[in-house]
Amino acid sequence: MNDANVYAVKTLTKKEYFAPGHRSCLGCGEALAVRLVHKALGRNVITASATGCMEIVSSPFPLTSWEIPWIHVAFENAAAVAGGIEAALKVLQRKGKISDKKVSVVAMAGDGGTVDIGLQALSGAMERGHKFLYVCYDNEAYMNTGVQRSSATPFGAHTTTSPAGTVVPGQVTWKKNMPEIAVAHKIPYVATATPSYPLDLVNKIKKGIAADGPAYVHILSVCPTGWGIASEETIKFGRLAVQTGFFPLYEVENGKYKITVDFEELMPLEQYLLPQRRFRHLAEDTLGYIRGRVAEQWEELQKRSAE
Amino acid sequence: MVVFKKGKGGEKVLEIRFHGRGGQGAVTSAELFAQAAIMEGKYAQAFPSFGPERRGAPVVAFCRIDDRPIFLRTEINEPDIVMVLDPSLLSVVDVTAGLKDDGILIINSEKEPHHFMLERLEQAATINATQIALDILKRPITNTVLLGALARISAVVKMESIIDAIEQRFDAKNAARNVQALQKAFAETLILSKNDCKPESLNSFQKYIAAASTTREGAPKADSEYLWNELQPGCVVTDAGNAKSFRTGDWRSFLPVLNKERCIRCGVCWVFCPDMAYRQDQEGYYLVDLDYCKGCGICAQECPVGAIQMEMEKEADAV
Ligand SMILES: Cc1ncc(C[n+]2csc(CCOP(=O)(O)OP(=O)(O)O)c2C)c(N)n1
Ligand code: SF4
Ligand code: SF4
Ligand code: SF4
Ligand SMILES: [Mg+2]
Repeated sequence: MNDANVYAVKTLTKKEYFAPGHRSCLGCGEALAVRLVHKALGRNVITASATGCMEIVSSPFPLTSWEIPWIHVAFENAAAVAGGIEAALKVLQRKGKISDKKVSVVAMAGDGGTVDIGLQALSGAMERGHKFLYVCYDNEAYMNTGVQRSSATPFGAHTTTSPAGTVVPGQVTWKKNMPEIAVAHKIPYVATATPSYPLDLVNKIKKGIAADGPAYVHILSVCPTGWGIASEETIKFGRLAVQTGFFPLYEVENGKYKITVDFEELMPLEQYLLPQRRFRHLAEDTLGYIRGRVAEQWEELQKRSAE
Repeated sequence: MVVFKKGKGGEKVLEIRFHGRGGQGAVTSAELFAQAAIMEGKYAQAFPSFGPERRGAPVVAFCRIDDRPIFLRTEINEPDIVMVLDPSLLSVVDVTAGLKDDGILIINSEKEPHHFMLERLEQAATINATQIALDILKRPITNTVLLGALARISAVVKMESIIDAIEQRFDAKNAARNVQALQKAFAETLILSKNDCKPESLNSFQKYIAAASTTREGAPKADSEYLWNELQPGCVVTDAGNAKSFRTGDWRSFLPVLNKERCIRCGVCWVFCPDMAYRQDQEGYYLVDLDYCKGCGICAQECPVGAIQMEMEKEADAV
């Protein structure tokens, strides 16, 4: 049995800040990620959310799953709104208009809302140095609107706008490395996480919100509907993504890299890719290419975390 | 046999409502039937009801067929025929809502049609579509299967046209299997007409659907019932976490069943549930809250000692 999971049970609060009755698909890894993130954040938090699956499923008027102040903003400006909230809180506290209780500020968005349309707002907020945490829930496509590719969709994946055919093997670009883009802003904390490793995820969210400046956590959020897997396999595929090196778990604290879930040897990549409907068409040459780049990426990461 | 109904202006129109769960293919069903009608030179529409509901949630789709061009673009509130793809929906939605007085109800069920007969209906029909789908398609997808029952009951569209529509839509291998399932359903559909129905079998379903159509306690009124001046600026909702009044347990087709003797009370099921459906009892066992569990199966898959089994939800016994 995985001791870390049992330990997670002991350390996690029983309180839920994301209420049941939300309308995600059954087995949604993104909803689970939101639940765990907000368990880590606790009560004194304001979250600004871009549109996307998590906004739609959690706030169909007049219902809300949110037990904390939560604001739905446009698709592209979650980071800008969070930056504004942080600045406003600072001013109001300085003027003594509100109590100086610590209130955390969080921005959340999907991969589309982060790596594509929200990137400039996010870059601006990181550059200005707002003390906030940005959480990207990456399910590797625009799922809310029916599985269109984003720049976080992995190479070779079939989506409705990167269809796999006889000439083109699905997505033709490599996944944009958003954590590295965040690191390049020299912010104090950047990490990757996935709900399949709940303790690791919760620790990183806590570190991120405690950092003295902007923090960025990129969460791989398995989407059974968009990826073409059974609803009960959400946790398993998150684990396989990590165990095969496809989505390494690491953190970068003030520029210092550390792999947080390390392996002597990675599992064969096919075990992660081929059972998913979005990858099942992959031919050996495409697989070989992906294998090469994943190995390269893993080596690079190991080198950096040894520095 | 239903042929076209005469509309107010003398036009002939047939309106069908399909009840399924997100991901079961209710829309495909409606589209195939419409396609078959179009191939016969009729006019037809097929469309889903748009909403935020996702895989597993109760959904509806509509099909409207006419022998003249159709200008209506509205959802169908008073259908001539209602099709139910998933029997577990019967305890959740009132599938007969708005069904015309001389209408027809077609249900995927292993039961005989008299269980579903209402006094005001013309016919009720049942077909064990799940079994046919499992036997022939190897998956519990009943959308094409149920069209076999529809073809048997309604003369509006010929069986051959439905087969043509299926062959156009699927690749050869899938089309062949779907056609096989369709024909089996056509042959095995059980039909009960009003005149052949014993009066004593009329009451149970009536009571049953009455329970399904009552609104839940604590639920705020529907969004469409708000007046503009009742809305907060920015549509702010101040009742934090009120989504709890919405029971996603209605979406479930599989149920996690705990074997207490095996359970080591580790809580892993609780950690990984995306729907906050686990509560710990006084003895430390984790029990499922059926109001919210959507039946994804994650807890059964992740339990380190295999203490949870997923079981198919049965058709409710009340019927
Ligand atoms: C400016 C703008 N363009 C397009 C949309 C439509 N839209 C809503 S959600 C969404 C996709 C969201 O994808 P992602 O951010 O990856 O979140 P997910 O739904 O996958 O969780 C799109 C395209 C919008 N709301 N605003
Ligand atoms: S489409 Fe994917 S991310 Fe969106 S609610 Fe469904 S499972 Fe979750
Ligand atoms: S995961 Fe299994 S053993 Fe652990 S508490 Fe849940 S049912 Fe019991
Ligand atoms: S099947 Fe298990 S994990 Fe899935 S919603 Fe139900 S209780 Fe939660
Ligand atoms: Mg996405």
